[in-house]
Amino acid sequence: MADNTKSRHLPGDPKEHHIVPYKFHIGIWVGLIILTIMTVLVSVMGISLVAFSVITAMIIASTKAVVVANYFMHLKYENKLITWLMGVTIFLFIVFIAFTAFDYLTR
Amino acid sequence: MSVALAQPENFYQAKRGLFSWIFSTDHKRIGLLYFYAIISFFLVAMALGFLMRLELIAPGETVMGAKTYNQVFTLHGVIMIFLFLIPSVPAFFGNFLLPLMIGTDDVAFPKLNLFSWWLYVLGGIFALLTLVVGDGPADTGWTFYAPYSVKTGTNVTLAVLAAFILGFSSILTGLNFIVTIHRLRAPKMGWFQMPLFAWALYATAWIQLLATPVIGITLLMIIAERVFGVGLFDPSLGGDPILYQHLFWIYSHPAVYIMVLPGMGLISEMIPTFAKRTIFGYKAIAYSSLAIAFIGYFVWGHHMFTSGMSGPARVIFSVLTFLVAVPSAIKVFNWVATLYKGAIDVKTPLLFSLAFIFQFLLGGLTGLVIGALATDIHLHDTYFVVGHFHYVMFGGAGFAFFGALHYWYGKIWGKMYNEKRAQIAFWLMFIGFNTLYFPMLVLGLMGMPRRYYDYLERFETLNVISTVGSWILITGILLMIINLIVSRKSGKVAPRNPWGGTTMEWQTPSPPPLHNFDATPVVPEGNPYDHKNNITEKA
Repeated sequence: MADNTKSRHLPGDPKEHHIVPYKFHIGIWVGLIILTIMTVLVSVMGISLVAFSVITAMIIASTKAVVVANYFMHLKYENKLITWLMGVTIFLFIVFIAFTAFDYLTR
Repeated sequence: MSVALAQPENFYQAKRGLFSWIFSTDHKRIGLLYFYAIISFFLVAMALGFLMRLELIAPGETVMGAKTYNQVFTLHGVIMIFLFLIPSVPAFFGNFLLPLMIGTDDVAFPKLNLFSWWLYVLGGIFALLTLVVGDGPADTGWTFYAPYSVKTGTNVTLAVLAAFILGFSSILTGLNFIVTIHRLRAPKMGWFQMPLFAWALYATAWIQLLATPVIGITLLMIIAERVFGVGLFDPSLGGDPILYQHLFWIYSHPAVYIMVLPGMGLISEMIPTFAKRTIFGYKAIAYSSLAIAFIGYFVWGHHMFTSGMSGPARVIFSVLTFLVAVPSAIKVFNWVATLYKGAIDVKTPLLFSLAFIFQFLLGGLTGLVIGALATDIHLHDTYFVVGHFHYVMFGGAGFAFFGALHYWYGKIWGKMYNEKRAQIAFWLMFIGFNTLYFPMLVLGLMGMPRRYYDYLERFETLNVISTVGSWILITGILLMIINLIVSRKSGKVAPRNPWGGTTMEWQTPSPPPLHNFDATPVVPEGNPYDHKNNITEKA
């Protein structure tokens, strides 16, 4: 019978797991709350931003998504390959939206 | 030939009884469960194809009317695409061979694997239910184009639900393979020591994982529109029918590569074995699989040139389409270069592989004709397109599947098939296939539209030839299946490595024991197709 026990411990497996203190996670959470408050403030008070209000909201939301993915979902401590694959997925999603939108805008 | 060691209990003998199969988490048994289901559906869809060709043997109504014909070609397409082509190679050969090829004992998530088979069965049952309930099977074509699919009284909801469930089965198989390849490769096996079939499965798995959810949500939108009247695609409800086509082809074009990429992987396994040569351009073939998977996401608009999509978008999609030809051609050139100066052993699997190259080339080149915007405007919705995709899908993926069935027959069932009968069946299939589909290309150029049960009299001669071709092809397929069934009883016992293959699945007995290997498998050093690593020669 094949011995596969070794093959089940590749980089990223439990023995190499990064341990993050609670304080750090709470700090990230507080940061996310602040960003959420900023989103609300921009939408309420930043009416003068007009078209830029959407862009500002998107930038804040994207920043939050990156923070969540990196720290809460441990992407930062994973193999770089996983980050790459995540990036490719996001890129393809943008392609789907952009190409379809291009057809609509030029029709 | 092979070493005669004391045979350990193989996976068939390890457990017995119906439940030991349908609730098995063994990747080999799940692969076989898929196989028997897939081949059954293939035969059903083949019978439907036979009936369609019979209808088209003469102008006017012969064996069925217009609505029945529409329903038959829809069901033929749905079954062939969702129940045969998409699962055929990954779910059967992938499940059976991937763990063996990378030297492990199972896939990463065996229970998920079993679950995906049950989803497949459930989807299949839903597809068949459309036959007997309500107003009969959908008559929309396998693409379920809105707004017609929203309005027709036939069983679109059920058929769409079936495709939705089958999509989940496909996603789970893809996920399983990605994790298996990342995590469970034999300890010494680097990425570039993986067999090319594993590379092809890896590229395919990413398409299954990333593209299939798009069709899932699109099909649910069809149901939302039919059942709740939400205006998404129907213009009378404020929707946009072209949006449906975008969403549909965002999945369904990459899905074309789910169907053909694994088949290309099979060809990359068979050619070096029967040429007795290391594969030419290993890395180029590996990377081209990834390239096809990647570029495949950017070209879906070429299915929509006559839909009313904007001019600039059509030009961009046409240009991007030509990019896919590059990695596909890289594969073809490398296969041909592998054969060059090889000690070629003409056995049935090689014949199927050579037929694959020839037919895939014809399918690919006709693809360029309809990928070019100007010519597609004329050829869209003609028989040229039907000929084109049958050359790629059946002449390519289908022939790779049947070739591989012969190649790994001994490994899977433990007996060798009858070579003479297999070659007769191959030639019948090859001649039948080309007699059936080549006239379609000509008919398309002459202007015969697809999806009609009737045609003008000037198209009759070629249609008769095409129908006769379908009879030859079916005779060949049935002979092949009978040969494989009979050989299961009367064939010679298969050795470990009947063909002198170099990849790891040939190191284990045929059929393999429950845990795949009777001794720790040796990862070939360097290139996995180096014939110095051939275990029969070492023995």
